[in-house]
Amino acid sequence: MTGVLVCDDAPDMRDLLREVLDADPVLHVVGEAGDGADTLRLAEALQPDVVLLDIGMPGPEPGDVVSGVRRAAPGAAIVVLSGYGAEHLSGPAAAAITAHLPKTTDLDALRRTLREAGAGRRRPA
Amino acid sequence: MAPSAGGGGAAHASADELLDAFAARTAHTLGAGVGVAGGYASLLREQHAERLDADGLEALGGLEGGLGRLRLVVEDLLELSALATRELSVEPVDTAAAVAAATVGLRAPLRAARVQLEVGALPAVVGDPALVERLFHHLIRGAVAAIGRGPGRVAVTGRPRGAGVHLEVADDGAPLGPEGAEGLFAPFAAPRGGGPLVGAGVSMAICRRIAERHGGSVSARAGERAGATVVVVLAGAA
Repeated sequence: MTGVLVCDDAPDMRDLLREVLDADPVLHVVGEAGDGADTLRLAEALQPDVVLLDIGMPGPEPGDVVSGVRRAAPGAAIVVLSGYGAEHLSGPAAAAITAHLPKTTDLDALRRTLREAGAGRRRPA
Repeated sequence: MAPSAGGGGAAHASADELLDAFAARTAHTLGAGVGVAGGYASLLREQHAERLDADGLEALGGLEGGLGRLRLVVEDLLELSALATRELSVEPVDTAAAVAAATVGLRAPLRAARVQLEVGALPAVVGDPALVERLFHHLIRGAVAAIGRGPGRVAVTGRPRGAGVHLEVADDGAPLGPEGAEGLFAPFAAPRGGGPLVGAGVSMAICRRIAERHGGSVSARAGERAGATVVVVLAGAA
């Protein structure tokens, strides 16, 4: 099983993601964070396989959240799911993520990306 | 002519920056709502469709169709807002391969509008392969939108000219609007044609941005009998 930490400041998006991921045979949600600070705290406490990260949340800058997650949970893959594009992450932060998906990504693509990230594979560019 | 890391020129830098900020913010806000609504529509399709009657399935199909149009709006705005700061990865580009890749996501609308797509011999250019593909995606998408219900014809041709390559996408769809050729490339300009392919109305503005990021240009002229021809000039590969 691939444990996913869901990080998004919109409760309805977190509800949707929990429903979708917990219905998947491979994926399950290990925790939810609604801002950057909670993301860093829960990443360290839960050591998820994948951190599913919105980069538009309140709290630290997106690049600081990414680098903080990398330090807090070194084994976790970071998959960004955001309404902001990759240009909102600096070079080092962009290099630290496994995949960057728009919020409009369909569920099949999201599940596939999370399974591959959990298995340690990078999504093809 | 050479690909440039700069934007679209100092004369409209400020307006472009404002536009980028607006596009990014709108895409973020709208995208969050569309993402949630689209996700629940998918769950409805996956988990509950068998319990819906014909009317329910028709309503779900309508919901999915509307969300698809909104998704295109969000993705257009994201693409536009990212172009100014995106780093270019410049190399010789097989233009014919870029056109082929650009049409992959357009097969259904091309078929639905009974569009005959003709691609001639295309000289190689120098550019960012992903952006050259997106350039042709938007050019062909705009041409198909202009054709509307169809049938119609889109022709992609190219020829070397000096150090550059002139690439043309011609269609026999709706004519240029009252703003003329220059107005076609303004963000949120009134599109030629209509329908779900119009998206956010920034396809031609994206084409202009991509060409300018490569040190090139775009222009348009009215077609001989109908429609329009968009001309893109990019650096040629040696």
